[in-house]
Amino acid sequence: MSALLAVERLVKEFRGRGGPVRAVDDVSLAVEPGEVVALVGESGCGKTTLARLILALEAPTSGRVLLAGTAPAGRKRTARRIQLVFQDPFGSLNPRLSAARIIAEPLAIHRLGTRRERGERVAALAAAVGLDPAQLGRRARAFSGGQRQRIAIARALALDPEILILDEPLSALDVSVQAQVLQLLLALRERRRLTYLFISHDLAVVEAVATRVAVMYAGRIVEEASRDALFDDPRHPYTRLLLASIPRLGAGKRRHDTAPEPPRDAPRWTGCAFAPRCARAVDRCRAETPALASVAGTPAHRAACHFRDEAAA
Amino acid sequence: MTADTDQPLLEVRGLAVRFGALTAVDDVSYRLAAGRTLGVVGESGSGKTVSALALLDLVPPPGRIAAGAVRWQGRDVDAPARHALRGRHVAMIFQDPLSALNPALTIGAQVAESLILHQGLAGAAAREAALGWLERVGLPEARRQAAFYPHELSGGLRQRATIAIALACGPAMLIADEPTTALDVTVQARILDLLLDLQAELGLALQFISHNLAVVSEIADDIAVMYAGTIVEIGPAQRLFAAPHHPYTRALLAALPRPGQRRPPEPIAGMVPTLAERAAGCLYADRCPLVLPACRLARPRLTDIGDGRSTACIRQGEVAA
Repeated sequence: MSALLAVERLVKEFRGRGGPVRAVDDVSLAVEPGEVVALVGESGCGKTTLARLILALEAPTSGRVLLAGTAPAGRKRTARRIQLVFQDPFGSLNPRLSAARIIAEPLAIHRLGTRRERGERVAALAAAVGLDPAQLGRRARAFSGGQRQRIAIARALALDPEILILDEPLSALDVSVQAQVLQLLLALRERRRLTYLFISHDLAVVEAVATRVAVMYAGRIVEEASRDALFDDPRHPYTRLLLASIPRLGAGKRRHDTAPEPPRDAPRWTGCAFAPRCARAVDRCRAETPALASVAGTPAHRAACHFRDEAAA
Repeated sequence: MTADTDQPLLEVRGLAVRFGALTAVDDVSYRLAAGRTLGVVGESGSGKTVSALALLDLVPPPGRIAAGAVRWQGRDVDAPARHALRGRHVAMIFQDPLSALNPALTIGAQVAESLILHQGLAGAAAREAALGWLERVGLPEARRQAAFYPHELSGGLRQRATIAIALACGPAMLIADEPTTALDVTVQARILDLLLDLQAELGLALQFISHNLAVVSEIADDIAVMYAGTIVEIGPAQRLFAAPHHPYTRALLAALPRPGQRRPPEPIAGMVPTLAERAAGCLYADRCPLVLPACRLARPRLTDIGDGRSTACIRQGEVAA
């Protein structure tokens, strides 16, 4: 059986000053229906480019994206099945359009329904995301950050997609609003049988909601595992560094860690890209790029590290 | 040792800031001793930045300081004189280091400028001392990177450079306003380490402002929780986390996902009142599960409840559960 979403050996190169730069470097990922797969990594790791490739907003240099086993033709067909919710509800909504118009936009673009049917659909979508239908005539800029994110979610649901790509959907929101939007997203997933690709740098949120996690570094997936396996038994040194960097509430003042900051230099073309920051690195790491392969005894837990079979000290 | 028993370097009492008829910050009081860190947490519009700016008389117009007393090293400092505290005594760094840096000057020149202005150094001596500061804040290959312009550095290194500029003035206190918010999580961890190191080395008092309670908990000795322009709870970090005495603090803690918890956090119903919606009673009343009719009649004042803690809730004894 084929996965709902399958990314196969995807590569995206951009032109850089010193030759091509691989923003996405040989990424494969399969997402099953109903999963919340978190894509985790820091700025520049390629997670947003990967999302744009999945949405067919960019063409890959090589590799392909399959939906339920077939390659959708073009952006518009893809949009019927996968939609995107952006991080910034202030930047991604036209502030001068009414909320109703924004939510109806995908229906208009895809020429779905009569005017009246669209109106009914917009009201139903608004109710589903907890917006007051009586307020839909107001312009986007009149809404708070949390409400704007609800508008963006309603718009993303307008075409009844199977998959939502959530690109840092909480980062621009206040703490008390984050939990509200998170609760909404989880309720919608249940009610509408949605599948989420949740892009985030916030590991605390990822630990709370993901079913599976893929960690990206320098364009590659360096570790992929179920949520519990990843947080309980990380096998890639970068994952361990990320976990150690999460600020811990109420654990007292921080203890020093000694991992160096990322180097300014471009990623290496041979060997493991994380080697310059890795305490465990040996000559082999700088010579030979480790493949993303299963940890011994747990086929679903994969890590791209020559020492993947060593548990943390 | 708590902030209560230390000799304070800074003491703020009853600070209020108004924008026209609207009150943005009301009755803010706290103390800060040398070598200690006060974490100030709150959501957007809570007044955490505006109250820090008021300390240095930097509130942007049309805002104005409507009330409040500031004591620095035991002496009263009236509003106009607060400007002079800035730099020499109290330095400030911000979320976006690019906005604080001059794009047309190299990093080294900007640190040197700070030393020339505030320490009376000149020429080669200032340049050498600037290099020393860049090394101290952990800029790798400081001599080479001193010649870089701000846009040539990563976000983390830029923030290190602004810290060097701020500290080169020789201040006794540093106000850091969301200094790690724009940074990646591994870089954030390194900057927090740096601030703790420099604080230990220089005996700095640190006022660390953030919306992120988890980040604040990693660096603060004491925490002030702000809500809608007021401090609703203040006290030693560990005790505040273990047993919050204000319903907002409690709700904020429950709204944050915690490592190991593996379930979604609990939302806080409702929204922060806007400046125009701020009524006479407790500003949290509309969202509070413990609200009583009395809460809406008069705003509860921040009251000492012992153990170095204060809270502004008439039901404080019933909050922790």
